[in-house]
Amino acid sequence: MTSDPELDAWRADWQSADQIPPELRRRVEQHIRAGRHTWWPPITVTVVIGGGTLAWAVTSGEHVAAQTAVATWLFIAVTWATTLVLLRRFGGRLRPDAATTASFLDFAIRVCRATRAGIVAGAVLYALFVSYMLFWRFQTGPFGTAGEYLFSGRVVAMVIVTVLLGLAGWRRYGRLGMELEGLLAMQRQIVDMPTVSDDRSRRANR
Amino acid sequence: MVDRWTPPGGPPRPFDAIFDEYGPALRRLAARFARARGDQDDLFQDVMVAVWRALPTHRGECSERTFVFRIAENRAISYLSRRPPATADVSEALEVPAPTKTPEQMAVHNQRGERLAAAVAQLPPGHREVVALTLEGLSYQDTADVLGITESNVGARLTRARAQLRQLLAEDR
Repeated sequence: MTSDPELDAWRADWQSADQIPPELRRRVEQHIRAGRHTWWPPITVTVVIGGGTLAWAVTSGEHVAAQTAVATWLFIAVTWATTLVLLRRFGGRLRPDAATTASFLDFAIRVCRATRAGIVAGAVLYALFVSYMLFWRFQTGPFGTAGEYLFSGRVVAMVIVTVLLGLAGWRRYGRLGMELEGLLAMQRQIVDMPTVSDDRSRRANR
Repeated sequence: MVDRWTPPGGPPRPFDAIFDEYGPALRRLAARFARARGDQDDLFQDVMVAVWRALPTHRGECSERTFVFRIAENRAISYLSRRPPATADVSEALEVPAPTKTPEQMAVHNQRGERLAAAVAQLPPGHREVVALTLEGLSYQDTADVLGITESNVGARLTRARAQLRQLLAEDR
């Protein structure tokens, strides 16, 4: 780079204050060490939920409980297998942090849109699945009227869980929308920002 | 000690060496993207951890400095996209200057540094990042590699940004 006194002076001023508090260094080190223990949450979920459904199946002896336990453990097994395969295949590169800003923004915007679409698709699938399960259970179960069935404890519990999941999904959808707006704004401001050279070439190409 | 990293074809480097080399620049980046001091510290921590974890994946496709700044910029962008937009409060961002300078020199440098940082914070984001990366010592090519724009684009933005900075610094006197 050729000598540029103004930039050199600015650079010296810019970099003049460069000490970092020791406690901030310690925080970073602690965070790095803590990252090595990120397997505890999924292990805990596996043990609590997987173990819980298994215990329920064993103690209750009900057919439904056994089916639930089998389905739960199948889901857990598929999730663990997929996670381990992806980690082995992609290592830490699932998110392209080391891409250029332009590529990263592009990727982040696509992921944001895909996640929002996934939430909608998941909600639709969930609604269809629950509706089918409720209908099937009513048809095959020892229930009298539809009113008795719909106000039974299990259905009420399922409705409550569904409403909570729906609220969580709605909130997440909204937050992703805000994030998407922010990413699009940054793409316009940082990557797509027109420059003098762009303006000149546009005028020349008219 | 938090382990060490061995760059391709180079000797092992401990975490402290990486922290000392890139920490100040990443701290300044955090100050550009976060307003409150606490948020700046959180962002800096996030960026530093991301850099340390990503370094083993560096295969020499770009310089180490470019690699680090790419990660830092992208992490900061992720952070900012999840929060309401706000300009950085640069008056809180700058730390105690290097001890090798005299107290008088430190006071002058610090004051000029603060004014410069405040002026840079007022630039549009596309100009601000080009200027900031240039002031961190990256070449036009490296800056273009970090942002994913052309080298001529970097030059054009830098020219405009410098004119704006001169005006802002003159108004500030």
